[in-house]
Amino acid sequence: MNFALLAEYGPALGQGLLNTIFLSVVTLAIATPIGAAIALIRETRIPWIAIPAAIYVNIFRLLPALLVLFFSFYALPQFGLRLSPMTAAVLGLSIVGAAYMSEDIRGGLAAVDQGQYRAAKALGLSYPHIIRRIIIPQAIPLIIPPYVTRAIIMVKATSLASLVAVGDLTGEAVRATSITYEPFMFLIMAGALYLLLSGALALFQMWAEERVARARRPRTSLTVKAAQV
Amino acid sequence: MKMPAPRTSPQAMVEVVNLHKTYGPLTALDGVDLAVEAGQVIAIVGASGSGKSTLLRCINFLDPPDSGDVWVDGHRMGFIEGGSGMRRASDREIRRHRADIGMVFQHFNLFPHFTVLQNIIEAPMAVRGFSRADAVATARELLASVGLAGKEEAFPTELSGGQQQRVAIARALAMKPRVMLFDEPTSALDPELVDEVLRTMRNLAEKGMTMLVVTHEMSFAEDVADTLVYFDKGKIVEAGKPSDVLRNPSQPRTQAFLQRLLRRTL
Repeated sequence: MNFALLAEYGPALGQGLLNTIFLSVVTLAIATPIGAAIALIRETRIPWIAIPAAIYVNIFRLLPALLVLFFSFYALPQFGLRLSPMTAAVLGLSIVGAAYMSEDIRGGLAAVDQGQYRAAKALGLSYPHIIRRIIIPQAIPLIIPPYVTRAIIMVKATSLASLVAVGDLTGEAVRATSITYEPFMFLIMAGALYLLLSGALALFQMWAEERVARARRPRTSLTVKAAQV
Repeated sequence: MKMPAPRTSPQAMVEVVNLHKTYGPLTALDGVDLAVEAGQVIAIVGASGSGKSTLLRCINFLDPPDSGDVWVDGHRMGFIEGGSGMRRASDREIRRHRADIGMVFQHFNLFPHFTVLQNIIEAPMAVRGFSRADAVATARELLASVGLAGKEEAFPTELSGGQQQRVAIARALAMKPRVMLFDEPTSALDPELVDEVLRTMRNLAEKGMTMLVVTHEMSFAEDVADTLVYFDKGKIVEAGKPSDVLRNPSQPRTQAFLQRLLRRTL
């Protein structure tokens, strides 16, 4: 390892890491509510809103994310919409991420037993009430694992932003490499930092699953009582 | 707006007139007429897929019928009487009327993330606007009446199937329904748990509740029901006093069904 070089390019890598964290946080913060809204809209099965939502999801789920990023950075200016690299990256990654995320959330919503809807409807409860009080609380434990997996994939996909001139972690590592011809050191550094970031999400997943499992586990004393009766 | 078909029993608590329902190519209800007087218990029997459960779901508009009318307690389901005749009811109005009809399902369908108490008070508070204190008081009374006093804080998974179904009955009763629909309430239960649920239903019948019960429990039908209705291919093939229908079925299809059932029981 050439520590002199590492010291020289350390600040740039640090800035790259901050940009990657910013991209990740903003993209997830935009994609999550949009993905959840799309999932709920599609679950209503009301054609005039559900069909456009399905078309949106399937277009962006099936396109390469890089193409969408290129489009928002290179093609939108042709329509007079010139975005900064960071804005273009956030736009592209959020649009694609929301499409994927909506599928993960919809899967969890759809996995809740249909009998729950029927029973709640039979009691006269309204659709929004059923979704909020009956369906979502049961869907969340089912959604957490695919959701966090998706979030990790999206964090890693922020590296695509380096191709639309964002100085993210990948971008800075590649730049340092091309100047110094020391790919091993800089790519290992970048990789370690990505592991730290997505590792934090994986830890969050374990914590969240454990928490949900604890909340749903019947309290022991009652289980014993029920068994005795 | 199509005018309602004439009713033959305008005083009935539930009257179904020429009800039709199809699912794609499948005809589930093919012209069903049925009248249930207040306080009567109707047992509905028939092979699976004969349309019995569809009839219950059409009565409370969980599955709106394609054509025909459902009258419950003098009100035409799915419609509102305005100044100039009938208009189609809004979703909100349908929900209000549906709340007057209790329903109990084969698989209980309790809300697993709620305690027993929360299962029972959720709809009375949200739909009927009861205060929490009133809803809880009613829930406690109902739990006691189905033999589950003290189970308020238990979760459904901590209860046996029979206990869960009794909670489901209490949950439906908490809405103070005019009619109760039971969709094979004991079919998913272990045999030794069937009786406690049937006992609860018998108590309810004795208190004068109007009940439509889809069931395979012939002894319950004979003991408790005022009328037994035999369903086949979306139609009522035979109806009458349970003991008469069970002992001397007049229709060959009813005879064949009862013989199959008897063979299975022996």
